Order: sequence, then C-alpha cells, then structure tokens
Amino acid sequence: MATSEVYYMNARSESPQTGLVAKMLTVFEAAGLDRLIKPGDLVAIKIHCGEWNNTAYLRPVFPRALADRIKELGGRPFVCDTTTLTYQPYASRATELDLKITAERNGFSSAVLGCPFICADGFIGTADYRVDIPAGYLLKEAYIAQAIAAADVLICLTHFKGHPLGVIGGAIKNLGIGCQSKRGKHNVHLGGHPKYSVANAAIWHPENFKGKAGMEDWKILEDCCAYGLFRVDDNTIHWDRAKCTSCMGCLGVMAPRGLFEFPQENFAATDVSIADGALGAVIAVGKDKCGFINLAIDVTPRCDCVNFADMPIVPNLGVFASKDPVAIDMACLDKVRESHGVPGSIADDFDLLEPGTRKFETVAALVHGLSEETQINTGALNGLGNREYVLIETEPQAMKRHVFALDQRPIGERFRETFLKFPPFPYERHDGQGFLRKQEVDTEFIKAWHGNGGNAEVTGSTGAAE
Amino acid sequence: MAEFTKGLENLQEAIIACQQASTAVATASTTEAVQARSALTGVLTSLNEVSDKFFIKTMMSVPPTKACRTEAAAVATLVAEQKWASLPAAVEKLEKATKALVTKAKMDGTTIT
Repeated sequence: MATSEVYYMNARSESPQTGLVAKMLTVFEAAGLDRLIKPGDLVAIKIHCGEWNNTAYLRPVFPRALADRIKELGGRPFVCDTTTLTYQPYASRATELDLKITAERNGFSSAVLGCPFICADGFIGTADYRVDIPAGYLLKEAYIAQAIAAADVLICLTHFKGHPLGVIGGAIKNLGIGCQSKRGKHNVHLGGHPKYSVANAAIWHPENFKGKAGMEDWKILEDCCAYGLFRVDDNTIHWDRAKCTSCMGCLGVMAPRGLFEFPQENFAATDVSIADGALGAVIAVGKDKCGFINLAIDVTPRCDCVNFADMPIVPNLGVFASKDPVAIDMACLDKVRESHGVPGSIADDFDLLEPGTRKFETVAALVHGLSEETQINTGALNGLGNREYVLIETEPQAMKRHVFALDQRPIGERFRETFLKFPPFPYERHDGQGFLRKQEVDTEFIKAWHGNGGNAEVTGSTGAAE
Repeated sequence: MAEFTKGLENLQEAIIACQQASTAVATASTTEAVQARSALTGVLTSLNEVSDKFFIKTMMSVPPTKACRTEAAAVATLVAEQKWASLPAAVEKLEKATKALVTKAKMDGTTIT
C-alpha cells in the first residue's frame, strides 16, 4: 500500500527557531513545498479567515510569514478564502464584500499579510472553474473558486479542528469546501440531490407550527432562507422544497422548533462529498502543484465558521506539512486520538480525557452516527491521497533564519549611532543612575507581606513631567 | 438516526430519579421535604418538555443532560436516606442544571454547520 510522507514538529517552543511560525516554515521546506514554486508563480495561500467574532482561526502572522517566504522564492503569493453558503441566518462571509470586511476585522488585510487578501470566487460566489471528477465516490464534478483554479500553486494553510457536519476540519475540508465556489459548495452539500439533499432527506413537520400568535419570532422562519422558500400564514407554514439548494440556512431554525426531522443522511453523504470536492480542487490546480500545512493548535471542537470558539479539546499538538491531504489529516487525527483531552473542555464533559479515544465524532459531530474518518476514507478511495503515512520528525533550522527579518544585524550594530544621537537613557540625571529611586529595599520582606494600607514614605511630591 | 441517544438516555434517567424523589417527599412531613415538592414538580415538567426537542437528539445535549442526571440522582439518594438537611442545596443544584438544559435546548445562535 502506498505511503505518504508527513513532516512534523511538536508544539513546544523555547527559542526563535522552535516558535510555531519558525516550525511552520521549517516543515514547509522539509516537505519540499518550497520546491513547488518557480519564480513568477501565482501562489494561492488558502486559509479560513474565521466567521464574525470567532477567535480560534489561525493568527494572521502564519500566512504572513508564509507569504514572505514565498516572495523570497520568487513567487507571487495571495491569501484567499471563498464566500460561504448562507448556512446560518447571520452569516458574515456570504458575499465578497462581507467576506473581506470580516476577514479584515480578523486581521487579514494586505497591510498585515504583505500581499493581497482576495475573495477567490467573486462577489456572489459564482466565479469558478468546473472540473470533472470521474473517480469521485459521489460527486462527479466540482466547481472550484476561480482564483484558486487560476493559481500556479496552491498551499492550503489549515487550522486543524473539529466540525459539526464534517466531524473534522483539516486539509481535505479546506480543499473540499473552502476551495469550492459558492456554486461548488451547493454541490458538495448536495443541493438538488434526489436522495441526500436537505429537501429530500429532511422530514418536514409543518403541523408543529402553532401559528403566528403562538410564536413571537415567527418571521425568522421566512427570513432564514435566502431563496425565499418558506411562507408563513397565520396558522400554516409552507416550504417550496423543490427549489431547496441545501444551503443549510434553515436547519438551525427549523430543527430546534420541531419543524424538521433532521437530515442525518445529508450529513453523512456530505462528508463523502467533501473529499470528492477536494479531489476536484487538486485536479483544477494540478496534483503536483498542491501543498498542505496543518496547524494542530487551538484544536476547537467546532469550526472557525461559527461565531464563537469553545475551549480546545486537546493541548496544542504541533505543525504538519505534506503533499498529501489525506495523509496529513490522518496524521493530525492520530495525534488528537493519542493526546489527553483538556480538563474543563467538552472532551471532559464526555469523559474523553484519556489518550486513545476517538474524540471528534463525539464532541464535534452534531449528531450520532457520523465518523471522523469518512473524509479520509473517501479521499483514500477516490485517489486524493493515502491514509498510510510515515511521520518524519523534523529538526529545527538555524536560529538566524527566524529572527527579525528586516535587519539581521545585532542590536549593537543597528542602534549604537542612533542611541548616541537620541540617548533613551538619561545618564545626566541622578549621578548617572538616570532615575529617582531608593537605593535598597527589603525584597524578601515584600514577598510575604499581605498587609493593606500605604507606606508612610510614599506620600510627598508627585514630581513633574519632563 | 439512532432512536435512542445518549442525551435522551441521560434525560430519562434524570426523570426517573426525580419521580422517585417526588413520590417520596409527597409523604414526608419535614420542612425540607415540603419545600422540595413544588421544586421537583417544576423540574419534572421542564425535563418532560425538553424530551421531544431536537436538541436532545444531538451530541450537544449530552453534557447538560448528564448534569441533570447527576443532580437528580443526588436528590433521590438524599431523599431515600432521609438526609433532609442537605436536600435544599441539592434541589437548588438540580434546578440550576435543569434551567441550563432548558436554555441550551432552545439552541439560540446554534449554527448547524
């Protein structure tokens, strides 16, 4: 059976060369992802920019450092994300405008990134490139975001975490949902499918609607659908389900109110489609032009697509890089399983603190019966990659490679003349000591002093500004 | 979908424990037992009301229903052992867990995907 290489460094840091940014760049090179890039290449760095008020998405310094490295290689990087489906009533990334505003609020702007941040699928999400996927397990075509399909190289920079539908959110999901246009996301979520679409998989219970008089917030039943498919009369609700696109916007509204019986088949089939969509993205760019970096830090149970972030379920695990999205996700999943859970997290709520437990399909999946391996298994089956891998622990690079990049001279060289001209230390004051202070105090005494009230010596002149 | 989920299982165990406690305090005459009667009735009403909610079929229901089960079991044990002095505090914890469950069952702000 084929085996793929996954390069890995753990999450511990005690020096510039072992910080997480340095480790990300180290595994990027160790995995040979730098060698994918030729001078002049357009390089798409696909990230998840985080939903409004989410706090667990990857810090902007990660794509920034990667973009800087790509520029050193002669590439032309851009950081990108794609518009979302209208998957919740208050979605903040459903158009290019909203996506860029949300991304910028989260720190992703050209000023921060040192390269453009763009919406890869256009204003509404229909700028895309159709590819055939003959090897797809369920999907036979995919619609890939135009800017990603047009790139010479794709680097998926992925925050590895859970997902309520996909169970895990790794490289496969970054490809299989993130790299799809909005049109492609409808495809992956099985809109229009005769069996697996929300329209066909959900059981509709309009009889559970008790009338406008009995539901103060009845208007959300109409307003949750961007396609206007629900109509509420005084005592009835109607759903034009033939036109349902499986955008998921109504699920969080209808299901809690007893109007939907939940389409679990849609979720299970979507997990399969994610891996097929991922294959489509790789086909669009070129299999030998795609690289994957997973950062298994802040491993939250829910995706960055929700408006909040729960406690991580495991400690930070490290950084991974590979040319195989299936292998890299399997490696991350194995590390999560091997890890202790975090006390006080949802893993604790489910008594999953011991190593060796399958955590995501319990703490992340919204419903019972989903597997944390469906995406990986489908990706192995459709040829996206291999679930067998060899984990290669990577040594840190030289410290000098990871210090302040704009001027790597030591501070003596950099500041000696400047500090002569603008001395920050007031040598001329207080006999060269610079500042007004007591000559000595009892530091041992104060370590154990728990009294209250002031020291009589503290009162006196407040001094004057200089 | 599995008919019987962990959240529903926890909830049913909590209901059974509350019913046992409720039956026992109905015939007890101590002040604490009398005070507990209406509280337990309220808790049972709330637990029964959430039992057919979609939330109970999700994995998210497991932690709050587990909390209700734990507190309900504690109340039932105290009643069975007639440890009346400890009952008010235990009932208060059960009411708090039930209130948390009812709030979460509304799934306000929950994003499904």
